[in-house]
Amino acid sequence: MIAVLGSLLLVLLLAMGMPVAFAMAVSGVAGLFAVGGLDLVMGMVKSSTISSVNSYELITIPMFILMAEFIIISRIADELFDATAVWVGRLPGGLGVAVVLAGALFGAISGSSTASAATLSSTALPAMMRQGYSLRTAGALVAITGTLAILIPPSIALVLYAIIADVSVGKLLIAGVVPGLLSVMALITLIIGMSLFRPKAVPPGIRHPWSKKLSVLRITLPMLILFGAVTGVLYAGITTPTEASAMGALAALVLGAVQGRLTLRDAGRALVSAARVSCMIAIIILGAHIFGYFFTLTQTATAIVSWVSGLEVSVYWVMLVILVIYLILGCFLDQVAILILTVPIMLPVVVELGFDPVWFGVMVVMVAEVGMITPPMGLNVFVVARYTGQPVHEIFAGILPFFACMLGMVIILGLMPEIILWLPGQMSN
Amino acid sequence: MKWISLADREVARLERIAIIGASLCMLFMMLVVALDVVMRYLFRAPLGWGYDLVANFLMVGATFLAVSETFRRGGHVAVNLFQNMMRPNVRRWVDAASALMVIPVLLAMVVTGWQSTARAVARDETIPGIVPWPMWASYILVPIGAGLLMLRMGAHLADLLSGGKGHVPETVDPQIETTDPAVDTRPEGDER
Repeated sequence: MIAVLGSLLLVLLLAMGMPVAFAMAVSGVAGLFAVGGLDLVMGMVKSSTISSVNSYELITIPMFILMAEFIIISRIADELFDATAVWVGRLPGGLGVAVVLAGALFGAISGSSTASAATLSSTALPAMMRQGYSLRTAGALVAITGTLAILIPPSIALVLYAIIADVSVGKLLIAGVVPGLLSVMALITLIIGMSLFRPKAVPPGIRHPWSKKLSVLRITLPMLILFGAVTGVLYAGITTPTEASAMGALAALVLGAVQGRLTLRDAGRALVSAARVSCMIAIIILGAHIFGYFFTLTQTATAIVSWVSGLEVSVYWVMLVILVIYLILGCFLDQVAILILTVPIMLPVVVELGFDPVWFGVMVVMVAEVGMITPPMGLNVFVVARYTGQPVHEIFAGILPFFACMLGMVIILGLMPEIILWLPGQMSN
Repeated sequence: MKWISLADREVARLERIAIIGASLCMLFMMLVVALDVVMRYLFRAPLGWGYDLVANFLMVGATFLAVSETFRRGGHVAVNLFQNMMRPNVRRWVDAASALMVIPVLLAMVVTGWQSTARAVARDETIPGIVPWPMWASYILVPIGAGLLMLRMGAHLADLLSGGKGHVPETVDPQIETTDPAVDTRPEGDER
């Protein structure tokens, strides 16, 4: 009963617009107070504040964020679209293909699909319009591409999931690679198909000379190598994810400085802005600790697990319901908030039902990302609509084929977990 | 209200110092971990103390010293969907109620954090490891960060109650801005 009231309070506070971290801490503290009075609250707050933050694994998050900030501030990412456009431009729908590739890379860097959608709105969208793309398709492409990136390392969402679920960070990061690449390929195939069959919406490509192809590589190639190196080092198990992330951040700093794209002042700004984002995530983890302790104390999680496993339905129906919940949550909640709020409750259920936690992590992150483009709420679409000054429904109309494609991808991955689990299974421990 | 804007300015000044501290923690975190890797793989002589320093001090500092400034900039993720539908007057009271509920939790953090710090000083506690770092230097970051946020919340609450909009930036579409701090930090640069 107390657990129900505590959860209702949490929902109320979230609806009031209280930051997720504070809402979890406040409702957790209120619940603990109801269960065991002030002594319990003080004891819990005392033991949880530092211990939820001073973990070695957690350092991966600020370091990947810092790496992203260094790359973003040195504006290497802006060159990405130009580079991909020159390289794949001659394919049918070449510019659209370039947007998908640039979006995937940019999102992988920034770890945020809304940021990716916002950036591409200002660079790729005008370029596509100039080449005669229909606004619907162009806007939809920009909205969708960022969502791909969440799976490609370094993915902060997957690191966070691994920490909450207490599974190997390295395994989760590597598990995202194959589904991420498959989604990129599926979207590219779709665009090429559209270009061949509906050239009005997606015009054919333009050929670029080799001299241009080589010159754009000067800036983007080192960054691609950096990403390959981080992923490779993780895959081979040479360093821990924490070490890989810190080395990655340092390399991004050095890269920006050497190319003359990062001043001392820029580096300072990157540090400050990385500190803010990583603080936001760490404080949410702290809030989740307090609320989670309340949930454990009232044995709510165990009650939910035994209730679900007592249900007389197929485990696959349960999983379907869970994934649909994530799709809906993904429409209006931030990935970080979704993971922290739901994974501690969902994961025990999922494991009890016999699913693999690594597979579930990739599925959750991917489904929640598809939520970001799901009509009628998807946040990414609103971002693109705002940046372009176009009505939201226009972009939703254009997004349907891509949405269907991503949903199909999710279904395939759901039915064939081996696709996700194969690559991490090859890793040495 | 003159004293409220004065309080806002003074707290903002402290926040600026704190966020610089947090940023330095980030920088040293990166350098120490990277140095540890280089020493281990190139010279087979790992630092040994890197892990303790990074997890117990730099990570704690990066988090708690940044918390108040991040709040002032609306950087903590929130669900703004319903808030945006509220009339300004209703929203003001809802925000005030939020602030009022957060303050006791922060107070609990300040009190317990301070108790831990005082005990660590009295017992001369150190971290078990190669370098015996003093524990209090880690503990004290909590009451500093939570205390600063408490001051910020107090100023925010006072402003709301006196008819202001509070000290969290109003944006055209707060849902987008606060859901993703990366979006709003880039176009404007680091404005004051």
